[in-house]
Amino acid sequence: MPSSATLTARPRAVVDDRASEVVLDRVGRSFPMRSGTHVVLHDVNLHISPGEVVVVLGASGCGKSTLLRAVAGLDTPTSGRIHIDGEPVRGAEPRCAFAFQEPLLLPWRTLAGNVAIGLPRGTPGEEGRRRVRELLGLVGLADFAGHRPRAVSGGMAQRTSLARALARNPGVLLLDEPFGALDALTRLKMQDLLLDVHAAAPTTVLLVTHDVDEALQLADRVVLLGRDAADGPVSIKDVITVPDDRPRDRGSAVLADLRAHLLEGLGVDRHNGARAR
Amino acid sequence: MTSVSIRDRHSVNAGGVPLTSRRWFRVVGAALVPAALLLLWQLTTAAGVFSPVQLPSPASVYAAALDLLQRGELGYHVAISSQRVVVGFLIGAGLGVAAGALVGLSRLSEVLLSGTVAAIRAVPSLAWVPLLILWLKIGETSKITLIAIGAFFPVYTTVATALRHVDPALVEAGRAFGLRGPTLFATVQLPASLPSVVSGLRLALAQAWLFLVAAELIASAMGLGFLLTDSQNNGRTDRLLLAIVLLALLGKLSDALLGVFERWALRRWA
Repeated sequence: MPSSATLTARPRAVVDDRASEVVLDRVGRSFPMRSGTHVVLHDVNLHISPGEVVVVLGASGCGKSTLLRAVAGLDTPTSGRIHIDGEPVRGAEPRCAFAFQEPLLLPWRTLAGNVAIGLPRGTPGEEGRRRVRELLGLVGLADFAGHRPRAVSGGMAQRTSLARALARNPGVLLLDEPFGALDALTRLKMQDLLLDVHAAAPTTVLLVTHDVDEALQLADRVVLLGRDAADGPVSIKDVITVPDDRPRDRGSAVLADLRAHLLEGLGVDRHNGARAR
Repeated sequence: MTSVSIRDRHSVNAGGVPLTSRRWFRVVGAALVPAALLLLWQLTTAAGVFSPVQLPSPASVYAAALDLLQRGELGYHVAISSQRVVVGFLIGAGLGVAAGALVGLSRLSEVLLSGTVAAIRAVPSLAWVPLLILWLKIGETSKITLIAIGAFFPVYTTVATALRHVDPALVEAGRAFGLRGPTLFATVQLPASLPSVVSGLRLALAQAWLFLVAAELIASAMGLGFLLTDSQNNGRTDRLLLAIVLLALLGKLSDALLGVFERWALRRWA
């Protein structure tokens, strides 16, 4: 392209269409404790189609992150099996890319250097540099490639973290409360950015959050984690298919009903009386 | 939004630099105390407070330096001592990085090794001398080994501690992106611990000079430590003082060189 002014990268060219199928089969995770075994997750069954956006919703400490780490191969379930495209997950999984609640960038590397960490092993230098440039353009950080993480805002660092995950060209994008540490406005913008990226290159997305609105805004399906007894193990309590195409009207009545339903599932009082008055 | 670091740099350049941060004042200020000491030394010797054997004048120490320099002995002593320090420091620091990495990264090696290493560390440096002379004879090897022992421990301790305190979340992020073993070490763990490793190197260099003198005092025919004992035996207090001043200057100079490296490392990696 002759003009350098048109730097808005076409996402489709940046991220290849690669979407994996994820199957969780009776996945359980328990931790040995001095007083016996502490069961965190019990009998989690989930089938995620290629290109689907699934949001796992649950209160804090319910084992959401444990589930995500198991899919990424960073943690091993004590029972059950996880398959990605029919292949079992063993060790850090090359088909997955992870974005964490904190950006977790290497402070001594520039933003470009951090995104390059995500590139698959053996990417040739010139191609790698081109992909890093395109991805930073995609998340709107083309002008900040040479900055250190300490010199940019939290939102920019988190966008870099997303670009690093996308650099892996993942079959499954795993997001562990990726916008949780951001301010409310930045969070909404990041959600839109994620939807743009997904629309351009529909990879499979598994996102964990405790934010009901975020779940309803992003998900094809919302998986509600919770426990039956107060100290019992966590498993899937409910799976909701969210209607409507994205992006969704944040004020829609259908979403409001789903919202109330999910909040109730999380054990939050919906204050029915207050609304009726 | 402009970046924080850019704004910081501007505010520093904008003037209002405190006096104690200005370069000329730091240079002059650091020279004040040595100048005062020199003056005090000159005055007490001129007034005859001490006999010349107890405390020779600055001028006679300077004359002794010129004398040794003309005979070619001074350069020789300085060169051989510096060489021993550099070689011993490099060997000891290199082994310290390797052992520290092993113990800092692997829980198993920590369990197996850290207790033993701590016990060996507790042995005072001079206790090694008879054994080293017995095993390695009075030569360069025994001296360099002793200096390497001195340089080893500060590096070993700082590397092991720094690696154990690297942010586990950062390491896990590295693992999530397929980094393992040596690649993970080179990409995440080593850079993250580099600033503390460099301060360990500075400690090790100071230890190396300490152990040099211990080695040369006991059995040697050259070097600054030999100059010390030889002058003591011959009643040449001027040369003795010269050796002490030279040790101070060399130690300070080598530390300053590492300090430049440390500042670079902090800018680059912190």
